[in-house]
Amino acid sequence: MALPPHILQPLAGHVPSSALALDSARGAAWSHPARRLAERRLETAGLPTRRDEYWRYTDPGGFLDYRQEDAGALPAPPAIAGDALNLVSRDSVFELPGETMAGTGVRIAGLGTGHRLGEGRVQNSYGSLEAETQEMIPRGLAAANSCFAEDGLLIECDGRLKQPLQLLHSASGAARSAMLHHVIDVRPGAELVIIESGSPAPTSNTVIEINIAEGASCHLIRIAAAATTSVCSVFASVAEGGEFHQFSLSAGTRWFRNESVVTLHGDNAVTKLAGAFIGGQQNHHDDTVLVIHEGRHCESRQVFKKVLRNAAKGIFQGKILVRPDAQHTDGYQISQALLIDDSAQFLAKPELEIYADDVACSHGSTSGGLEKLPFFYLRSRGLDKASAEEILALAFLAGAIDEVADTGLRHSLFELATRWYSELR
Amino acid sequence: MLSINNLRAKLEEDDKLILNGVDLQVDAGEVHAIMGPNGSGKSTLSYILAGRDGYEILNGSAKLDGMELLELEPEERAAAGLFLAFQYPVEIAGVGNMTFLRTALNAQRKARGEDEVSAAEFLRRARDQAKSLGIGNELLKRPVNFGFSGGEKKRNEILQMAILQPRMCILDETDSGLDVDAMRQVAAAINGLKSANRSILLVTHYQRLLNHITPDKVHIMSAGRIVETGGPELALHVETKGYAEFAAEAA
Repeated sequence: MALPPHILQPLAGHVPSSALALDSARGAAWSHPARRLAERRLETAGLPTRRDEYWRYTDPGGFLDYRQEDAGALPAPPAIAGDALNLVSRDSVFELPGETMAGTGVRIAGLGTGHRLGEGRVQNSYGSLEAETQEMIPRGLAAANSCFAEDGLLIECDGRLKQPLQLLHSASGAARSAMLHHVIDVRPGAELVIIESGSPAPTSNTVIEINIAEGASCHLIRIAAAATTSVCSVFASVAEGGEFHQFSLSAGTRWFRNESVVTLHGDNAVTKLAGAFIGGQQNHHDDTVLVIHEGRHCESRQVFKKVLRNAAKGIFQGKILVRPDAQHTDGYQISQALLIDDSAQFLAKPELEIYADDVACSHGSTSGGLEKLPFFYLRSRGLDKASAEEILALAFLAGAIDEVADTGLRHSLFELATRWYSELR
Repeated sequence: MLSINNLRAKLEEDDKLILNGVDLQVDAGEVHAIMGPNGSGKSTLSYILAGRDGYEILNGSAKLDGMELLELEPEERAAAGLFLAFQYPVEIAGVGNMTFLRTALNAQRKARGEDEVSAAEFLRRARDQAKSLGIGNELLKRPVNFGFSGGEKKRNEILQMAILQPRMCILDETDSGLDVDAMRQVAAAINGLKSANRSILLVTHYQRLLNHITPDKVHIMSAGRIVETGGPELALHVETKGYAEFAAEAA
């Protein structure tokens, strides 16, 4: 079965042509059945168009029709955790750690490799979380990723890794686009912190599927600050008593669609999603979040903040969906933008869809310029306009960065935001 | 030090005159007090001197050591040595009190072509000053004025003043919101800052702060003008008789 041209053609710039043509050119043999299922989902969903409600504020053409000029090498990815297990990818090909992971409770394999990891659970779940919500909201770009992804990591975590796992992408410019797909399995009671820094290529489509078992926790931190064009879709499933935390810090990214879909399957599960973005130069930055409450007594929290100037456009679409059985849900959502000049724009669509009757959910969204009185107060103490603006903008972003639980990482992220802020103004 | 001549100003979005020809001369080393009823223009005068926007200057001048303040940005006025202790100090969430103060101090020093103060040296100075003002270390670590009580905010203003060492200090209703003990501590800190090349202008409703800080001159402001100038006895007179006679004078 071949995909029709209206789907294949726009993807041509995003995957090698051999992969578009031949099943056998699509990764390891074990993945072929899952990729074929993904192909069917892609065919059903189609690629997004600007007429889709789900893409109301972001034209998918900004990604699909974009042809990356020769961009050269991307800046080196910042390492925010000094004491970390680093995994390096060069032009979207991971150098696997092999023996260094022995005794850590973490096993890692590359998507491209043929060997099975442990009992093969991770391989077996490839594409399944991405598939789970396709009926509710078609996600053609994520399905295309499951079908065509070139590399990525399969991670199984069975213990409590003390150090974060830090993925560092370096891109020489040799490849203009990349499609990565990670599958992460955090076993009962296990804990994992993953940091993904930098972009694998100037244009990228990334899918991350995370299964969090009973009482397990996973913290995912993603940071990017190059003029890249990217779509990232994170799918997380959280079992009873499990926790999923995600934070993203980005600055100056040309076009960025960040999707997170988190399903709280078990009771007493928690998810906290946050993001800070510093945008200028017509950057387009979209955070689209869906949290599905299925278990009882679950908590979800979304905190997204963007500082925008120079015709940058920020989008936030966030939905809390509470299923009929999800009693005692505690849901919270806030999205805010600080518009430094009149050319910047923020569009927000907060949504609550609640089918249970005993829940507490709230949401809010604000946008506005710098507050005049604090700005004057700082200047009256001797800070010039630029410094006063920077101090207030960073304080605003700190409201999102503060969602990161680890003190050391929080400090590093704030320092990074400070550096990026002054570089981008 | 500070020389204000025939200063007239109004709100940008309103035609009502707020300052209607203010004349005031404060010499180096002197302490002056401006008293007056609500709405007489005292706070507006403070804000205009510090450079807050929203006002339109119609004419007149305000010079600090011969330099025209009204043409400077607020941060340039601060670097030139002007300091306004706010009547309502502003809460700034997310900005650490100490980080803010050190950034401000070094920004002013840089603007004057002086060397920056190191973090360690700054911390030592800040702790010393804070201690004498009864400000605990815990308050130094919090965001600027965030979650401070009214009295703590006022003390924090004086702490900033003590660290920034301005030449011309304007204190807008610093006494409001202070209990008796806090008033003593704050007054002692202000007295400690008196020097031959620093001047202090106290803007206040009441005489009680002047029990602790003796002014060289007291001015009564009414309807946007200084209508009477005298010694400390003028403040005592107002305390017993009120402002009514001066309001009549202004009209």
